[in-house]
Amino acid sequence: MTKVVAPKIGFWEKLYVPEITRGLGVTLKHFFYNFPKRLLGQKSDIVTIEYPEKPEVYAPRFRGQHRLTVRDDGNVRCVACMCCSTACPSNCIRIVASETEERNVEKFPMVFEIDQLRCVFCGMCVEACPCDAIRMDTGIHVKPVFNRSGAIHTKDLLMSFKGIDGTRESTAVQGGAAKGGMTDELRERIANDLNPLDPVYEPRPENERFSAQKEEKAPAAHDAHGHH
Amino acid sequence: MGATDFNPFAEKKMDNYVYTMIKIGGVAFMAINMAAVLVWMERRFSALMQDRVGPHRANLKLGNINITLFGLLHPVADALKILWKEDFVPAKANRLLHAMSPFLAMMPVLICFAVVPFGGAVCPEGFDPQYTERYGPYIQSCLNAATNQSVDPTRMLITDLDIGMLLIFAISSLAVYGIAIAGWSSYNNYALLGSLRASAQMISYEVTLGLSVMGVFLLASSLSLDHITGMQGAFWGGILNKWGIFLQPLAFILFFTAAIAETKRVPFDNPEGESEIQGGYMLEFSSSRFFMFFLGELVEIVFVGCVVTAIFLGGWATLPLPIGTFYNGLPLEDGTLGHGILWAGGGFLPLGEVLTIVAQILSFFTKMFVFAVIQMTIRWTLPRFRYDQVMTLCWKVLLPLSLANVLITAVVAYFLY
Repeated sequence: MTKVVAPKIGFWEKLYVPEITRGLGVTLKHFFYNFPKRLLGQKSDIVTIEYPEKPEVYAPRFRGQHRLTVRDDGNVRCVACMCCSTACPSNCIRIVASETEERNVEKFPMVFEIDQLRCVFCGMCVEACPCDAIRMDTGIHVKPVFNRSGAIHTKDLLMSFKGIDGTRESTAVQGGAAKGGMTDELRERIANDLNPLDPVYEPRPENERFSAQKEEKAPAAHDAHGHH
Repeated sequence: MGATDFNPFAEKKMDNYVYTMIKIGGVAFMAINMAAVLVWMERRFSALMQDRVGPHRANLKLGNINITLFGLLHPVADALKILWKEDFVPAKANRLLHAMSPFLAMMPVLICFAVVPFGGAVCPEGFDPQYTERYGPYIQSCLNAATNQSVDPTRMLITDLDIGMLLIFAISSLAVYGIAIAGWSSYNNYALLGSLRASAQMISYEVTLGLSVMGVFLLASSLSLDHITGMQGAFWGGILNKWGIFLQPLAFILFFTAAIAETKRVPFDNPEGESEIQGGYMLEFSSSRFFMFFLGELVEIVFVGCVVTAIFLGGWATLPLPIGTFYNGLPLEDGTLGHGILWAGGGFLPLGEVLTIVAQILSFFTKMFVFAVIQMTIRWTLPRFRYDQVMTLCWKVLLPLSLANVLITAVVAYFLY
């Protein structure tokens, strides 16, 4: 059994009233710091994220609402190879393939549906796709629905979403490097061992409070290593 | 002319009943609505104290404009929601007592408001102020100019009872029945446990509550809150109002502590004990029955603020700071009657009859509001006492201190007054 050692309480603390007053002071200090700043809309110590009005910036690789990318002519990029629906662990992708001669492709999805109630947002469909036809880089959530049929996203709806870069096209260029798809930027990214398909995002702004804490702690950790 | 010798035990006539009805309406409106405002304050103030934002999204949609009023609509939304909830009664509950207990718990505190003075007196017939040094700006009688007869003034309290504080102690101690019956009638072990804790705690702290203000009664030689308030309007050496908190600092701390324990709020919230007994005696109450317990607790905060203001902070008699007294009809050196503020230094600021009474009421409300905020700050600062600590604090610390306070005050008052 471990013995609990209670901290020593002196006479001053045993009087309760002065210490309670000090405690009230701490509480009121927070209040009087936050209240005017909140009223004037200045930056205060408040850590609450007011979600719909001021959404938090997501991580660059945030997997959100799916989208189907389009070709230069505006048709769906997908070739109905079934790789995504095969890879999908929750069987939420339903594809009905069809043939076409109009476009210079052999197959295209006549039906492409994602059941968002089944989807687990693992991103395996994106990994599996050989054509960069399905992406989850819209940067938004799947919207809530009022009935179950509303959660089944059809091909047209999925094609209507834009990526976080604001376009409906893929970042890959049809025809590859020979047709000008390989840019200096992409070469640089490949050289730096970065995924060339990752869209370019603004870096996430760091919370000043937390970064300030990190800076305080950093030298202490350094000292500890020095002793070893 | 009016009586030259001030007798606090003189027989009083009944007030005009129309005025009384207006005062009852006003006080009830104030008490209930203050409680609603306190719900809002409790949430948003506590949020700011804890670096949060607090609820502010309840809104009225007028076209495309959302009216939120800083979250002030939340209490309204709460009340509407809670009244439409299912009125659940446990199968084995005693239905009659279960239905009665919310009323028994809430009514006493509303009754107690009857003797709280929220303003001085007015003399519609004409002033004949009989001020004594001891009772400060307390108007003893008015003078009907036409008949040259002395008349009772219209006082800003519902009942001018000479045993005001005694009535408060008597009635507020009845609240424990509502709590005990609530727990017992619910047929629930947690509820019973909560009501047992509440009964023990409330009865224990009532002793200290009564004894702690005994010193103030001795100094005022009256139990009427109006007299006690008036007494504090007098000056101490001409520089400082004789607030009860200066005369009886220990009594103030004891009374305030015991009063918080009586309202069963943090740090004395063992009877509710959300983390251990799930809300205690109000566990099996829903809908408007729960609402009555909830509202009763908040009205109690307002009431504690009122009583502390009246006994210890000069009530309506002084400014929110102890530097000036409101006098209505003070005989000035030039022979006229002055209505306004008598400053501690000796200067007089005339305000007019109506403005003086309004200022008195505003001053009272300001102090009461500040004390409601202090009670909230205490709630959001301190952790809950253990149950044995609650009892030890009452019987071994507060009670001996309050007895010693009464004894010393009695000895001092015997030789000084």
